[in-house]
Amino acid sequence: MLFYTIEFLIFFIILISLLFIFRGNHKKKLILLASSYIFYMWWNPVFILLIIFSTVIDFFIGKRLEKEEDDNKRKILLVMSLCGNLGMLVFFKYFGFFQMNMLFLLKMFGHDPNWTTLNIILPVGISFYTFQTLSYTIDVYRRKLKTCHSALDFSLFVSFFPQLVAGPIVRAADFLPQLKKESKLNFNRYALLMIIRGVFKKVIIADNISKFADIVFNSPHSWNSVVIWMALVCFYIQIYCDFSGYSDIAIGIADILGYKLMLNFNRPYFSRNPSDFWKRWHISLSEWLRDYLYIPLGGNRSGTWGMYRNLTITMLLGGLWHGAGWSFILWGLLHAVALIGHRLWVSFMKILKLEGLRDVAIYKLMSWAIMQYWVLLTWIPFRVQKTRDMLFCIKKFMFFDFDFQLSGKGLASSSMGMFSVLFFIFMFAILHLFSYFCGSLDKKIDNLKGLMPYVACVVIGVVFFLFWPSNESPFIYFQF
Amino acid sequence: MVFRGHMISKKFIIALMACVIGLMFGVLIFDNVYQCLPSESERFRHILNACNASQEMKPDTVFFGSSVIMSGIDANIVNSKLSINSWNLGSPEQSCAEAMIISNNLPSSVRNVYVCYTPDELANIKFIQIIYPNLNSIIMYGYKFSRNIINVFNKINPLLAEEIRKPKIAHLIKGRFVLKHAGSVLMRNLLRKDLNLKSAARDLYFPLAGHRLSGRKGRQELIEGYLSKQSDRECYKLNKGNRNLLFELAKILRETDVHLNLLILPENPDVRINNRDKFNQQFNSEIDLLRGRGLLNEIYDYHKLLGAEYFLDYSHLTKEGSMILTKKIVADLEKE
Repeated sequence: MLFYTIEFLIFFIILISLLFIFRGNHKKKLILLASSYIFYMWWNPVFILLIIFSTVIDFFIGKRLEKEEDDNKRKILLVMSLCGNLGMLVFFKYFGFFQMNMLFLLKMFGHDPNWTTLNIILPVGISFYTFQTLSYTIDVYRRKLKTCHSALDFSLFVSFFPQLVAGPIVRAADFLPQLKKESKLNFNRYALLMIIRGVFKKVIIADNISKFADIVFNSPHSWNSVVIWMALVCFYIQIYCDFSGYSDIAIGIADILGYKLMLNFNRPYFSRNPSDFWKRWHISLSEWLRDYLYIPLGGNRSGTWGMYRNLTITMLLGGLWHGAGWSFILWGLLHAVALIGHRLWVSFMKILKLEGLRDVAIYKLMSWAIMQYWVLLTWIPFRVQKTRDMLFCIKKFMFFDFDFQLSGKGLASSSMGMFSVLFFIFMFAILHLFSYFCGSLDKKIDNLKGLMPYVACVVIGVVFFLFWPSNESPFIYFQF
Repeated sequence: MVFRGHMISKKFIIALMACVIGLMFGVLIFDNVYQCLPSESERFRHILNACNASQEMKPDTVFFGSSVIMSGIDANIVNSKLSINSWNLGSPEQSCAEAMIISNNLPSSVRNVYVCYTPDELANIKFIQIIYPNLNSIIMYGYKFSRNIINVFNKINPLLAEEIRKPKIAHLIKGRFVLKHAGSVLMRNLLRKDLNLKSAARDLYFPLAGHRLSGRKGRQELIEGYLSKQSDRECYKLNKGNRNLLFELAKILRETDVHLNLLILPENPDVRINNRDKFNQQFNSEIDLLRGRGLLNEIYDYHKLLGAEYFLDYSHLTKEGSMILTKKIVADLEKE
């Protein structure tokens, strides 16, 4: 069920009505849990069993961890949780990938085992909720978090529908305390504007420019560098608007339901270095990887080479988290290279005592341009999965061919929609720059005096009508 | 405002209502926006305007067909040689179903209608269909549909009839693609300086955008691309629906004393290299079937008129090709 469909609207109205009718926190949480399960089952009812499995395992392991004093037994319990959650994730997400690679290796050495390939369906949001439950168990194991004794609260924490299928990855420490207080619906204008912002990003920007990138990347060999660059810029905007749009809608809906979710994006395309980028892009995942992978591996305390090793492992696994494929691993590797390169550069600047340069405008601008060039480059393996196509796109991207011939290629046809693509890129650039220099537009609108916020809402309504695409596209991050 | 313990801010409700008002306002103004914007199917608007304002022009003959006749028949030459007033009302991907709707809106001065299709177009299922952007434009620009036409579509293509019967608001909402079309038209005007897109949209006599030569290799690629989309090339057979649509159109036109003629356009010999004899035999028997009913006034068969050198691609004619075709039409009409 997509957030911006009529079916979701009906679902949400029924949910709100029930929350109005029933009083008492327990009943409200039961309604929310039931609605979260229905929301998930709308896609495929069978896979609710996976969420229930994950919930049951971590709830009981959490309770046992609280009682258990023996460190070895506690470790065994933690390993059980890791095996349960990661086993499920590995089976559904990576089994096909491992099998395919194993088969390739065996064939290379002259063996053909004649395996039957399993066609495993990837359950929506599995990477998100397994990480969420894992973080709970690890925190309880580390005694950083008190065990949750309410099965209802824990189940709702795992399956809370606004963020269930595409994040933000909520921490138990942030969410469980909110469930203790009686939730009150809070219909406030800011939440509405947050939802509008998310829908605008996803539907008006991302969905309207996605077709151009799809056409170019599905068969890139007939295009020159200008078109490859343009398609890449489209995907660069599309993936940000698609994913951050989902997060914005999730935050807005949760706010109306009376719960606060963390911010998942903070204008990542204004970052000037890789470290800054990962503090702004998919913040909930970056922090998860930092707290539960990078730091346990030794973090910055393992010496220079150890730190680089930890960074590489973290980013490679971060890439693999996104999808079972070598292209995602390459994506992670490229980000690891950037992070290591940046640390080397910082050390180099320190040695040469050039740190003062960081405040010079031209340095800032150049570092932004280099960072965004790298981000654009990393999106190629993320978007183009076939090796031959990917290499071609990388070549055309990095070694500009100076072929400016654009006519006669069908770019102006309505199916490619080059004009509308340029229009939406321009619209995105303006809005993004505005939000960077003047603060987010939704807050600005909310703070306007008198009738102005409502005039803005009327304009938004007109824009939605005019530019809402005819076909629905699912969120990209649903596949992770 | 607190309701049963829950917070409902007035600002939230007013903002939500303002968004809904904005949506409704969009719906209200969009019809006017649609009429003003350039679009890939705006030729329908110019055709309808010409039909509605034809008191002085009084056309007596019209040619219907796809982009092949837009650049294939020069009505200026036809008019000067025969002293008649004919219009070339071809439009991109125009099917016979579209021709039927346009013919319902023609001025009363029209006495002869020529539907002009290649053998492939005549046999294609698209003959009785209308691609959605075209149908949307036909409805949005205000073409009239007589009861007879709806009944014919009900029998021959019920899905099309159902689509036409939908309320105008449904077409208005779907018609937002026109914004993208407007951008594409603007972009194409910028990028394709070699084409006269204004003429292609507005000209009533020879709506020619240009004769773009693709070179031998490009031409071959276009032919191969075209052939890969064609399913059965071994046997030539007209659908019953296609045949019936022609007959029904002839009957409807006959009620107002208008004659329907079928003009088979030249076929590029390169698109039917195999089994040419078998094709000719089957094609002739299909044409005989059409003739046999006696509903069509005349059938002009030019499918063997031109050699491959007169084609830009699989079906569109070169400038020389279009001149030969036009002269042939003039000569044949002169005989009558």
